[in-house]
Amino acid sequence: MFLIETEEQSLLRDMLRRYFREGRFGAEPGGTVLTRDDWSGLAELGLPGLLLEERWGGSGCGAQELAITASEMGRALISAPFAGTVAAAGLIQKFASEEQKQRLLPEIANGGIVPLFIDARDGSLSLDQDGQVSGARDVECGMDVDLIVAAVQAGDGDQRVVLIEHLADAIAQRAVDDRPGISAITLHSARTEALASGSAAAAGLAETDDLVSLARLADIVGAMDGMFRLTVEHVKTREQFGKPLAQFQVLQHRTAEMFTELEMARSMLLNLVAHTARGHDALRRRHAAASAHLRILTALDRIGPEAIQMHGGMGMAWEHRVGHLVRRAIANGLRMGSDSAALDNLGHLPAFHLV
Amino acid sequence: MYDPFLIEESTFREEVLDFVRSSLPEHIRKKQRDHQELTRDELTEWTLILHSRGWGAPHWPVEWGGTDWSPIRRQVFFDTLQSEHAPETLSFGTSMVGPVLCAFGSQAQKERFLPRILTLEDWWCQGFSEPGAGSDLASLRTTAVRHGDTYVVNGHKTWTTLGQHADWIFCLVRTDTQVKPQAGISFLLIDMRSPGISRRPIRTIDGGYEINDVFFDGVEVPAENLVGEENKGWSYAKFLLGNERTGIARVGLSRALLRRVREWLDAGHAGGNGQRLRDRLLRLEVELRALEVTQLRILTEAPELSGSAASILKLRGSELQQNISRLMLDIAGTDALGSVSASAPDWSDTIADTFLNWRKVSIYGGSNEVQRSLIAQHVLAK
Repeated sequence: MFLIETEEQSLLRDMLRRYFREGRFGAEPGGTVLTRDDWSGLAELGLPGLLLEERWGGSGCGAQELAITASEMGRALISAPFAGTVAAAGLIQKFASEEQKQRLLPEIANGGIVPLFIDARDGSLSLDQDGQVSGARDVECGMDVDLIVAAVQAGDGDQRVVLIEHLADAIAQRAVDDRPGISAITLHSARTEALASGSAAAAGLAETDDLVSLARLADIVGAMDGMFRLTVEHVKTREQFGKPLAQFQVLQHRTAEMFTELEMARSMLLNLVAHTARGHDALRRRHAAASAHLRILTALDRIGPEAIQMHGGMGMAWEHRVGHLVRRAIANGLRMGSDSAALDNLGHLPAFHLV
Repeated sequence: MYDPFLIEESTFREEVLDFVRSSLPEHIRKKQRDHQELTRDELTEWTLILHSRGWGAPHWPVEWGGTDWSPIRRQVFFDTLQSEHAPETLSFGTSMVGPVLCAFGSQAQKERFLPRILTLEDWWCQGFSEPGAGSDLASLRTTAVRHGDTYVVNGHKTWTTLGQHADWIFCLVRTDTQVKPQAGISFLLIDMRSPGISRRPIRTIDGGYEINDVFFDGVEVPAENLVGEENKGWSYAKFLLGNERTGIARVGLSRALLRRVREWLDAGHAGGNGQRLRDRLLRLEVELRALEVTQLRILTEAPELSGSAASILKLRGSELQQNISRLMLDIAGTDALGSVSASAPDWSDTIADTFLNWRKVSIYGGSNEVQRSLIAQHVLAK
């Protein structure tokens, strides 16, 4: 199995790669924060509804397409609330009423409504007794949000999934300096509707967590691919001591190590996708997710700083792309949690592949 | 065993497991588990068991005793054997000279040598490296000069693994000194009982004798023992080295080792140090999986890996094998130095030698530095 197997998957990758190379995309070294217009453009490619069923205007795709798309966004430094949208849409499809689905999902798929999933189980948003949500936090969304699906911890410790449709008077959203695609939002007594609670909510959120992890890890792998390609380009063209850097064996070997790490990371992403796509054993999927988490962050530790080092002074410059790829990947790594967390997760699972 | 990449092979895997569990003699299994050298009789015993099942050389053409298995199935076979502590057949015969003969040998050579490789009646060893030709193999200086129907060979081969048991040696020899180094090399089969051959064992840092010097002093070799064409030996050698692209990762062996470590930790022997050791184990387990999936990608011809595939597997596979032995050595602690205590893991009395012996895996088969250069050539050329 490969990440890209079908004609359609290869078309999706090529289309995204082309799309993110054109026009203003790719012009800024720090990447591009998508606007609502861009989002409508991406909706024509089927991105917001990528995983939604076709009857809701979605593309009916799975883990492979999710990984391909997130990878391309990481590689091209595109800041868009992709994972947050896909997760929100998925939870609505799973838990909302028929009326809500008919009203919301087609609009999400065509880009008319931008929904965002916010995981506030850390207490950053609190649910009061009247079912209203308040709190402040940063979110990965550089454009105005229309609708929020939030995971919150209720007073009794129960996990809840709530829908916040009427944001206009309840939300304040502003961009955060030097952090493309990040906004700070504040919610004041936003009215919510309950979508799920108890074990149903817990199971749905576990799936959502894995989906978001997969998208993040794919984004990191895409960014590492970008770092590697820039580094190869750099050592082939940059000359010192009268010859290209690529002719120095010490740099050849370090390039080889970067490539090897990138391929090991790719294999672990593929392993996760394979276990997600078959999707019939949650424990094995968790094992694949924790393994991918651990190995991809290890690869990032080796590839990220090395990409900067091999660019020399240029790697330190804000105007060079390579540092922004590293920034993005490290931020995503921090959102995944440290490798100690991955080790903890793994430690609680059987070693499936030793048997 | 469930693996989303190997669903089609799960029945086959069970079949191999049943076979090896029921037919691998216990005394061989135990020696292999502890990485102790088998006697010629023991390896012959197991080779004949595999041969009678038709699995003595699955990667050979069917007409010479091989199978028509897909590359994935072959890998599943070898990994399953390794992970059950079954020895591999003598690689110098089945994996090195055998495939070269199948591809480039004359009909007479095939008929003469291939059946005796399958039964281990002929023990083969490799004559490539020389004191002055290691990573720079093409600079080799052992010469073969043709006089009528005979080559006369003079020179010195080294690091010849298990040459002490060998009946035959396949050699790279220089047959033309006037051309660029690669263009003047031939591939010659030499009877180790020929007059003029002498060997000297080389003791290694683990205290063992596994490798040898082999000296050739006016050794006469019938010209019919030339493989393929004269001066084409370099391309046959490249074929030989690239032939087992994926076996070098030793996934099955690493799996077997990690399983032992895990069983020991699960039994609670590690005491207060258990969590730290377990973290190291988990990292190595993840590395194994990364290696395994990379190997599967290569076997199904992932385009982005073409050209550097074998090198990646060699690098990470050898490192994993070495790192596992390092962890096992740490767990054994001073028990690895002798006077084994009651609570010591059962690998304690052999692991120090194994750890030292396995430094070789990042050196042989093209040192890891050579592999990095090969990968770099590939990725920097694009």
